[in-house]
Parts: sequence; structure tokens; C-alpha cells
Amino acid sequence: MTEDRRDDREAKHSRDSGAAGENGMVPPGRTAGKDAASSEAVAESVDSPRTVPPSAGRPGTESSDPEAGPAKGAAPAAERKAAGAARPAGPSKTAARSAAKKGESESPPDPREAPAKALLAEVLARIQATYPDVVEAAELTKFIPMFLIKRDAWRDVAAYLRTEEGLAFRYLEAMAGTDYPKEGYIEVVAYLTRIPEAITVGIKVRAPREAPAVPSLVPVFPGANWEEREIYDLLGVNFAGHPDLRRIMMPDDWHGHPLRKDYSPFD
Amino acid sequence: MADIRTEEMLMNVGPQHPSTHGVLRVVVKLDGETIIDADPVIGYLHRGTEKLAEDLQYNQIIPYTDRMDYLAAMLNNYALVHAVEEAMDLEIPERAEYLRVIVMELNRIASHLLFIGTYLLDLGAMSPFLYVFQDRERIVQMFNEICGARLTYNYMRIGGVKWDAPPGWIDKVKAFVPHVRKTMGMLDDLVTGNEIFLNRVKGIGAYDADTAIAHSLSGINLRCTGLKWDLRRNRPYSIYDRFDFDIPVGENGDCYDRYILHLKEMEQSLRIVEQACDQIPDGPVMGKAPKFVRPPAGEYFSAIEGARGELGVYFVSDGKDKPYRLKFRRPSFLNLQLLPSLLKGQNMANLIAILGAVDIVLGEVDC
Amino acid sequence: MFGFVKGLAVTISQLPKKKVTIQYPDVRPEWPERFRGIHELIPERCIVCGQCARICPTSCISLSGTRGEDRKLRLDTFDISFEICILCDLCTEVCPTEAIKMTGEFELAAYSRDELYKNMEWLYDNYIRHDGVRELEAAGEPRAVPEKAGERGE
Repeated sequence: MTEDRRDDREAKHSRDSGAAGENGMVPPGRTAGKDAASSEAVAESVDSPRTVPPSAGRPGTESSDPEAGPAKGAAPAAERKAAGAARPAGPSKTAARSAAKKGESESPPDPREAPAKALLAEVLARIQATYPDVVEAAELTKFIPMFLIKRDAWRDVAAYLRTEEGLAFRYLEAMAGTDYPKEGYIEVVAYLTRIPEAITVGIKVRAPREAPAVPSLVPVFPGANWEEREIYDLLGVNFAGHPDLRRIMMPDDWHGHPLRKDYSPFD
Repeated sequence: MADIRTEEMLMNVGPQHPSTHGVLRVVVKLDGETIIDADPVIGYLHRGTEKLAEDLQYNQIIPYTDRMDYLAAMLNNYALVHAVEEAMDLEIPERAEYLRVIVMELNRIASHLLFIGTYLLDLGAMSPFLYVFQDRERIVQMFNEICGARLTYNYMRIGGVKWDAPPGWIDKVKAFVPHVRKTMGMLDDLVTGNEIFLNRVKGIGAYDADTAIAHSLSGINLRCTGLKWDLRRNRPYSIYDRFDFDIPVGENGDCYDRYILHLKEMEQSLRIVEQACDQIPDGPVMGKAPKFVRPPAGEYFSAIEGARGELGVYFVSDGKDKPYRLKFRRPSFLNLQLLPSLLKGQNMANLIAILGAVDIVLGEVDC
Repeated sequence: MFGFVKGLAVTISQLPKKKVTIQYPDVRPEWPERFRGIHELIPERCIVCGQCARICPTSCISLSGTRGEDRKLRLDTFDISFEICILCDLCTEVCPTEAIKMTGEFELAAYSRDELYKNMEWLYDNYIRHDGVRELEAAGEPRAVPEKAGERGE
């Protein structure tokens, strides 16, 4: 038992080059093996919820988690809402929104789920009406509709969501890139919000890890400029059509892209 | 005048410049005194928080968030714990929520006070800087009492807060509120009517709401254009729907509006603090949080209204106790984007006025 | 013009006010009880569970222990590298026996980085300098307060 603990500590030490651990004699192969195993496990477990069937009409069925989540969260949320209504602060915005949304009864799991589902269906139908076959998957990620868009149509769909009457998701709230080495792609996600209703949808796109390239959103959302530069810098995604694609965080002569899972600073 | 062309000059402002509030470098191309191009260079404070976080448990990331926007660390703490709590549907005890709101709003006041002080210092007024520090010091001391640190609080935990308020702390906060009001009145007398100040900020660096939205600005940088967009109101989180407060907005979207909105927002924060201090119930401050925080696999995004704008947290969980990917949507980072287009055609002396009013914290820009 | 005068009035009104600054090295600030300063360690209390080393976000703690004859673990070495310690308090939070705590000590400046690597003895001395003075006296075994290391002024 003591043995194990010490291993743990030493592994920690060997990872941390700064700590002066003179008592550690760790066989190098061992920690490396450990690391590899754990990273593999990471990739594996991420695999399962991610293989979403492209049948887009069934949101929130690909994993049991969202179902289990709202059921648990329903009680406190409802309670809080009631408390909020009782005070002079005025009615909760979310409740008003959901009531106005579709007239759907938002009784069981979570009051936020029904409007989110309705929004998912609505936006999906509108995208598909204009751009058939570009949505590869659609799901609810904790009450935010998320659409996986084909790479070629990435910018068109973003522009459509921004300008189209009735959609008007004019505000690019956030962008992020994630590396999935096991699946072999890098994912770029963008959250678009309708101001002032505060309704958010997410769109994402996948690019192969080797030479990833995604159309740039800067012509549509000028606010994507630095976000894309950051993703380019840290993950190596090439944004075609970006006016000024340079490194932003790392020095200009830096090699590699640090946020990639297989990045090693010694290359 | 206009037809006299002088030689273009390339000049570095920063990275070690007192008015860049940290290590920001702006490469400006000058034609005489006029800026024809500006290019902010960032990354000097990049510590790779997002990469480090992939190797840390969720509770271990909280001290790292302290170091992003170090002037409003409570809000950063909250952004992270809120995102994880949302993902896990955790129930937070009432008292913890109230304590969180109190410390967050106090932190917002402290951050805004510092903005006013440093902004006026940039513009050449020395004494407001000293006055605001007196009040900020009192807030910082109150934080020191409740969580044991003056700047890097590490106060919130997933499921609650670390400490309950020490005896008498709430009363101290209550007594502090009128004091800040007095200081704000003093600042108003001291600065807001000052003709030199008004000449330097009125109509400078103005933009409209559409530009602001297109460039993903948030916080006061967005509200100064007249757009009412405050996540505390538009997408209520925590217990903000229980408080009565207004969202002050500007009219012209210039530096003056941004300055005055900081003062007005402090007033609203004080109102929230007052109400929260009156309503705070007794009870536990830590809910039933699992020892190992493992959000269900999936991706999550949630955002709060930080001191400088929308502070969002996007994270991908693979069901483990460490995030697979964690990304912070930092308001300062995005607010700074508009700077080059604001500076173009301006006088060199306005660079300081415009840059200061954006209210950036480099720890957050670089993350 | 009126704006100037109003501002000047504020400035003048500040003159009779009391000073809010303290003369730092001569007058020490008083920290509240929860203040998170440099650690102190009571080796006898440590059960070598290693939780502090595991929770540490910067991995700045390293410790080792051996099993004594009474089958209890005893601490052999305990080091904190204050080069990377961020004083986040997570280690004292998880410690089940309160062997590691935080003091009001906050001055860590040193001439060399090696001096920032503090071992068990230093941390115990730090305990005697702070909580230890009181606690040991109450227990009836007062101890001479050791000099603070690193103040040699080389």
C-alpha cells in the first residue's frame, strides 16, 4: 500500500520537471506506459457518446445522461422559480420564454427542456429547408441545440443563422476547438446567440487532424477573428479565408500546437 | 494640413508600459501624430491554463481561475463552479448562493473601482487612484476575512463555498455599502464634471451596437452602445432573479459612456449586495457534492456576467474527474479585438483613453 | 470651470483625514484568522496519507513515510517547493489530522531559489514560530522560538 502511494507520488514528480525530487527513481517506461494507458482510456470513453447517428430528428436520445440529469434537477429548479416569482423581482425570464415559445406543457423533466427541443426542431427544419444534407447530426447538449455541420457549408450555415429572418443569431458568443485524436478529427464549435432573447444554438464542424482546414467565420462574424487565431495557434486548424491568420498566444516561431492531445514540448 | 505627408513611424507601446495594464504590446503605425494602423500583440502572459486544466481535477482548477482575471477572481471562481454544477445538476444550499452573490458583487465593485482609478490615472489624474484604493482595500480586507486571501480567493467549491461568513461579516458588508456610495459621490464631484476629463473622453472611441454585436463585445463595452444585455437579467443564473436592480446603458458608445457606466453599475451592485445581505438565510454552505466530481460525458457551455463582460466556460467531459477540454470565453480577449479599428485615424494621445476604457486585464486576455 | 472648483474642493477636504497607510516593515499588518500564508507542519500528527500531495494543483508537495513497529506510518520527509506553491489552501483542506496548516507568515523573498525549497524541519520551526508558541506552552512544553531561516542577509 505504501508502495503504491510512493509510485503515485513519484509519477507525479517525474511529470513535473520543476520539482526537485531526488528521492525518486522511477523507471521511465513505467510512467510512460501509465500515461499512454490513461490517454487511451480517455479517448475510448469519449468515443461512445460521440457516435451520434445522423438521424437528426431525435434529439437527446443518444445518451441516457441528459434524461437522467433533468429529472434530478427538476425539483430544485422549480423550487427556485417559485421562490423567484414570490419576490417582487418579477417573473423569471425563462418561464415566460418557454410559455411563449410553443405553448407546450413544460411539466415533467426540466422546464428548460421542452423549449430547447422545440428550438432544435425549428432551427433544424429551417436549415434543412435551405441547405439540405448539410446537418450531419443534431442533438441537445444540456438544453443547447447543437448541429454538426458539413465542412463545406460551415460558413453558409453560419451566415444563414445570422441573417435569416426569424433566426437572427447575430451574436457569436464563443468558439472553441477540441482535439479528438482517437477519432482522428478536430472539432470546432461556435455558440450563436439571439440578442436580446438570449436564445443560443451551437454549431460545430469537424476537420481531419492531418491538415485540418475549416472555412473562416470572419466574413460573417468579425468577432471570430481572434478566436480563430487562437484555435489556429493552439490546435493548428487552418481557417480558409481568414484575413490575418497568425499565431496569437505562442511566439511566432513556435513549433507544434499545444492544445493537441499528443503535443509534447520537446519536439 | 492634410496634404502634408510625413514619414511613417512604427512604434511599440508596451509590453512594459504603465497604461497597457499588464503586458500588452500595441504596435502602432504613425503618420505624425495620427495612428494609421494598430496591431495589439498579446500572449506575454499566456500560461496555458486550458492545457493545464486537462490534467487537473475540477476542484484543482479553481485556484487557476483566480489567476485569469485577477481583479475579479470571485467571478472567475463562480464561472467554473457554475458550469460544473449545471452539468451535474447539483443543488446548492441557499446560504451558499447568497454568499456567492455577495462576494461576486463586492468583487465587481472592487474591480470597477480599480478601473476608475487606473483609467483616470492613465488620463493624468493621480488622486482618484488613491481614493478608490482606500475603498477597494476595505473590500479586499473583507475577502481576506472570509476566505483568507486578498487577491487569489479560491473561495468557491463545486457544491457550495468553502467558508461560511465569519461572525459579524454580513453586518460589516452592510455598513460598507453607504461608505461606497459616499466615495462614488466624491468621484462624481471630483471627476465627472471636470472639463479636461470630459474633453478627453466625450465622443472618443465611439461605435454603435451593431459593430459591438458583430465583434462579440460584451459587458460594459456592449452596454455603452445602448443595448440592454446583461446575463444577470437576460439569462438569469444563480439567484439573480430575486433581486431588484437595473441595467444601466449608455447612449453614444464612447469612452465617457464606458466610464460612467462603471460608476452606475457599482450602484446597482450595491443594491444587490444590500438586498442579499437582508435576505440571506441561515443554513449550510456546502451542498452534497461528490468527493470526486465527475460530470456526465458530454459538452457544456454556460456563461455568467463577469466584471468585464460575458465570462463563459465551455468544457467537454468524458465522465472522468478531469475535463477533457476546458475553454474559457474571456471577455477581455474578445473586447480587445475591436481596438485596431477604434484606433485608426485617432490621435496618438487618444490611444491611452481608448485602450483604458476597454478595461482589459491581461491575465484574462492571455489566459 | 465649475467642474474644476468642485474637484478642488474634494481634494482639499481630504487634507484633515487620517492616514490609511501603515509603515510596513516597522508596523506589521494584522491578518485575519483564515489568512493563507506559508504552511506549518506538525510531523507527529501526519499519518502519511498523501492526500495533500495528490490534491496539490501544482504538485509542489512531496512526502514519504515508513511503517513503524506499531504498524503506524511515520513521516520521514516532507518538502514543499515554494517556487511553485500557489498557497491555494487545498492541502490543508484535505488533511484529516490537521498536520499541515497555514500561518500568517507571508514573506518569502530569498536570494536563491534553493532557499524556497522548504523541508520538514523548516516547516516545523515555522509551526513553533506561529501556532506552536501558544499550543506548546499550553501543553506544558515551551520551546525556544527559532530564528527565521533565510534572514541571514548574505
